Amino acid sequence: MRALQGRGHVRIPVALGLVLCLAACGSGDEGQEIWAPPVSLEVGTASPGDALTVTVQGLPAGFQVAGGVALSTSGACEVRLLGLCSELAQPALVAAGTTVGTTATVQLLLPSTVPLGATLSVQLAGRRGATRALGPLLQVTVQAPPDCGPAQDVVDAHCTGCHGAAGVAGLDLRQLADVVGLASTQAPLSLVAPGDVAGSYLLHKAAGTHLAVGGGGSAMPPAGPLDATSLQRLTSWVGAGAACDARETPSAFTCDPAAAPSATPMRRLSRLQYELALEDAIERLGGWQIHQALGGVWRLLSTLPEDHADRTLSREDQAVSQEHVEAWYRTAEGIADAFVSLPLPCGSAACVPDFVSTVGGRIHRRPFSPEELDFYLTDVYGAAVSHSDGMRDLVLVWLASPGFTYQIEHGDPTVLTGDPDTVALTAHELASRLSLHAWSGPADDELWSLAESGALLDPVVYEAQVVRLFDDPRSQTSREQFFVDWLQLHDIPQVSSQVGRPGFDAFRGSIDPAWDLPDRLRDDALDLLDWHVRSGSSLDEVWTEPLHTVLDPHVAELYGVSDLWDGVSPPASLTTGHGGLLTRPAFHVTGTTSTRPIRKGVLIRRRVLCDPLGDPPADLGDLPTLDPASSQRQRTALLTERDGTVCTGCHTRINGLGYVSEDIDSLGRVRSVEEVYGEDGALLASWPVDTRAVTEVDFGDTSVLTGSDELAAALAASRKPEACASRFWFRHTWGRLEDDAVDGCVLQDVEQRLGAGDSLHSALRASALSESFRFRHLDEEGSP
Amino acid sequence: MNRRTFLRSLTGSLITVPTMGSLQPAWASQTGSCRRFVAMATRHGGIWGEHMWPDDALLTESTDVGHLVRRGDLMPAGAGSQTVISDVLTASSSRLTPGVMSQLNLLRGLDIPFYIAHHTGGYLGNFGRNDTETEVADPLPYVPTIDQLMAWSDGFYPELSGVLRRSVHYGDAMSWGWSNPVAGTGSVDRLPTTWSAQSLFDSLFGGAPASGEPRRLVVDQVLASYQRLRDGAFGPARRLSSGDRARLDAHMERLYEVERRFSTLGGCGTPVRPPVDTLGHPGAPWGYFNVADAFAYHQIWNEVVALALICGATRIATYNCVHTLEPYVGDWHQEVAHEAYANLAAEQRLVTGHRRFFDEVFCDLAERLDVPDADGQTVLHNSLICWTQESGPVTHDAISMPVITAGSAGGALRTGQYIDYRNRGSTALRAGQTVPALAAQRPGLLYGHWLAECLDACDVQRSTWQVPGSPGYGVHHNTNPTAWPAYVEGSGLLPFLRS
Repeated sequence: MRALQGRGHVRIPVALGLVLCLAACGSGDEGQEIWAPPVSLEVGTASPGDALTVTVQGLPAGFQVAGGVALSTSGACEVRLLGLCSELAQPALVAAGTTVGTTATVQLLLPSTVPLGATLSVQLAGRRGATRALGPLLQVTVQAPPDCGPAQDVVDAHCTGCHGAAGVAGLDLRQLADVVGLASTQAPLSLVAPGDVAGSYLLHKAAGTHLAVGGGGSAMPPAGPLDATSLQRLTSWVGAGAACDARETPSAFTCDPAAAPSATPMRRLSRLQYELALEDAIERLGGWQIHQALGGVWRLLSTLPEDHADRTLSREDQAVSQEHVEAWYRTAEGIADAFVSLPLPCGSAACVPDFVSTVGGRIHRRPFSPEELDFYLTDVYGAAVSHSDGMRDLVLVWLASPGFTYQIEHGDPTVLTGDPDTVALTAHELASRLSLHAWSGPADDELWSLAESGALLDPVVYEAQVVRLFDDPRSQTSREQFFVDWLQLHDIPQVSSQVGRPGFDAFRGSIDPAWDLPDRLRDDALDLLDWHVRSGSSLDEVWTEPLHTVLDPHVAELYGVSDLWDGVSPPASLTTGHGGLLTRPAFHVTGTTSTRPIRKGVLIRRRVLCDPLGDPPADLGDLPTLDPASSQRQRTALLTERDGTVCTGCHTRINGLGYVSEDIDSLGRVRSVEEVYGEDGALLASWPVDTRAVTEVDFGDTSVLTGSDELAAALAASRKPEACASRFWFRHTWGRLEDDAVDGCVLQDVEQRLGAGDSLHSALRASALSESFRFRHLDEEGSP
Repeated sequence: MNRRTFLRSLTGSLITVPTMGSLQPAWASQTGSCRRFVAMATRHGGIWGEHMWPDDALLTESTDVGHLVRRGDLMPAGAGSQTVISDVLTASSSRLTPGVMSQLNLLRGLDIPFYIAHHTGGYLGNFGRNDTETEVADPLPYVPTIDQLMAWSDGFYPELSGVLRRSVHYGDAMSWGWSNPVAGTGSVDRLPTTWSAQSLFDSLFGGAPASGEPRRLVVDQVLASYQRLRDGAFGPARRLSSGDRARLDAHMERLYEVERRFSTLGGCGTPVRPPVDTLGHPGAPWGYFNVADAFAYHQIWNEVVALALICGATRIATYNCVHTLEPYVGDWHQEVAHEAYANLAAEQRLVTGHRRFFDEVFCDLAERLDVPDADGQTVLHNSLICWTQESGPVTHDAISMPVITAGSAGGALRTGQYIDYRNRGSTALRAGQTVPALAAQRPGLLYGHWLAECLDACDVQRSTWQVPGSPGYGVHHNTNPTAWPAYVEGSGLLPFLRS
């Protein structure tokens, strides 16, 4: 909860609607009275979780505002004194109300679940004598708190453990903007003087020069000097004017249709795209016979590096290493050798030109130019000593050349785009981009023929193809790669190797984890996601719906269900206590007897909410000795949440997201008791699980959630997951990090569709329907 | 199977270690240069000084570089079946032999003077690859790691006969290089690694064409397809961006290397593929394992890597080991690694695991390389093997990152030493701390200077990497001039190290 100290107020017109209060509004036998307008209202910018100061002027004489405020996001909610509007998960509360003359000032604590951009109806309540009274409905728009960027990250990491909620020394740094211009109580300086590094006491405290400027106390933070990177960030921020912009609001992308997207070099195919393109090429060259001759194409791919998706997404890994180039060559060579070991589809030189233009063009996903045809016929085929060698070399060069391993997009020079550095894709390039995105593979015959005829450039035809491709089962592979990357489902720990350890055996009981349990768990999560996509679910339903989509008997054992889903019928609801996606065992299995609330929290914070977490601390301070019989929550809290440590700044935003699902153990089983075992298998302790926690899904939200269902509801109520999903989908679509300044249109479109409750399915295909999907921006040196 | 038996099976004939030199390429007989570089890394750090290092009594000499730095000759504190240098630096006497001992250096007090926690790039100089990079607005830039500077340096590789791969990488990633390593341009990309010793073996010694016929290369035509696309020769309407062309240039450089590699005759005879792979091995670092399996797991790696280094199939290897080497049924990361600096029981688990690494991985490889080289020295003498930990005695903290080395880089380095670069009189880092491991922290000299020493020892010209005013390697900024005053940054040379 952040106070709005020192923040400028804005005047907001008062809504004039009156609430006709009936006797039922009040309680007891007291009479009721309605304030008559006009009154004027001053209100600060309000953010979720903020304390909001409302000042009402022009009160009728004798009125005392004493409290009694309820809020509604729609204004239609029935308002009861000191009651709740049912549409709000948490009420807005009156912290204090004072009346001086005809002016009343009330502190409202806004619910943290209030979405940014919402318009709240605020109603004051008071008394005149023995008569209770209600004020008019006042409209307040909720805005994002200011964001002080990296400087805020520094103080969050190093300072707010003490100078946060605890308010040590009367200082709360959770919102740096609040202390800009605020006088220090220790030195004759401002805490932060914009543009004045020497005059900013906060910097002196951090640099240890505070005594020299008349300050007192110790340098901060107390655990040791601030590292230079952090100090530099603070100093740079102050020196640059201590600006705090509106905090990045992921749910409020700005679309600038005139903004040109970033110029990015041609993309190499992801490993999945390469494999599927290779499959397609093999099919065109001889199909199963080539596979048979090769003994399996996968053997050739054993040295091809996997795409790196630990910190990004697979498609963002654009590195081309020596191993890539060699593996591509070896694979091309292997397939070419296998090709010529079989009866050739073109038996003499006479049919080679046709073979090159038809088969070669499809393998390269676009028709060859005359110059390319000449190159392949003369310099490749023509340079070989025999027809067979020439055919081999053609196949080898096709599969190892850039037209196969990269997405080559020259654009159509005849189409004027209004920007010399922006080109419209040709029909073939568009077909290729679309199929590689939707299917991670090359175009099928229908899409290819529309590219050949040019009809694909007709927006209506194109849109129909986007719908077709995303409806096609072939889209599942690409989509699943996205889900695996986004939610880090490739990172599920191995479990079966723990079997035989007494401590683990006592913990697992009758569960016999399969050796390939990580794959099965990943597939279980994907089965649920796939159902949601196929059935038209919204993103909110992904978080909240407890659907029984368990297909695997090994996984069913962890859920505690004996019946399996058939994979087709609408799934029933799970009655096991598992809920939406994030309660599935894939997100809870750790490969040990312990849950990992921190890990769960980090995943949700980074991948579902797209929140920065700040730097881990360099110096953890004194650590306590842990009792091996303590619960995981106790251990985690002791290590990372002790008052006065630098850890709390970040971990208060991490741990709660993990605690709420502590009723699921590290094998994905629902539990009400946490049993702690020693390595020898002895039961050391049993603890009732505590799933109550502040999760801060939205910053500043201090509401206490209980259990995964409430977290799921909070995720569904927030717009951050939609915005975050939009960001990750953007990266999957374009293979690069988004730039909010120029990519806002696509980000906004997907986010708004998800936020409006559109189906996940339709929202995800929106990026392919965007204007920018059909263009490419080249840099300034874009001429050959 | 002992090592010599294995080498026989690898080479397919009754070859004994002393004759391995006959398999070596011509460059191996050049004297006085570093011919092989191996970098090993282990995670977390967190080992207290008194358990990591030998007794201070070994430090018999000192010199003043602004503060006193100390050195002494290495001597085992105990011998028998185990040779003991310290709690961690203890190994089987069959691996930590007198020959290997004479080639060791223990370097204490090398610091990265800025925050780099949770890194995989810091070991070899790409300090930007750490976990703050996605959390801050101005992350440190990526730079190539020193192994990749060596791999594409004419100094380290004056000629490439017999070299099938310039470098090999196994375990987790710890190497980064230019997308166009010849030009030294483009993006700095992560080098792929393998977790499969069989795959590594195949990439070095396998890869015959599927037909069984001698390979008929058409790399020239593949190259031509890139060159023509790049030059616009495939049609006037084929517009490319400069980024596209840079990408094609980088790819063509890689193709030249493929052509060179395919045309190279290896000097390794006809080695036999390891019958058991590391991928899927019961001693692999995923899930629970027993220590015997973990030992066998690393034996497979060391056998393949040692063969490749001895016969010259490669001269550079990096291994980022994620293995804890100490079984634990709970959450190692949180309950052991993050507690170790204030919890003796947790720290002792780290000590045990790191002792196994030193013995079964580091010393084992060093001992395998302690065989004659073509110039009459040993392969180990002509190598530089380094082991570094992610942090110093405090997890998350790159102060006093331990560096253990074997080999003199062909005589460039003086070996058999324990060197302590710390400024013992300085409390500029941890004033007021009560936790012993924290209170004991002292600033020393700079880790980037150690990396520069590696580059110097391995003949990589400073003109190819050095930034004016920054004598060490890697991005540098001094966050605490009191702890690391100007003289620490000054020369870029580490006392006592050079021969």
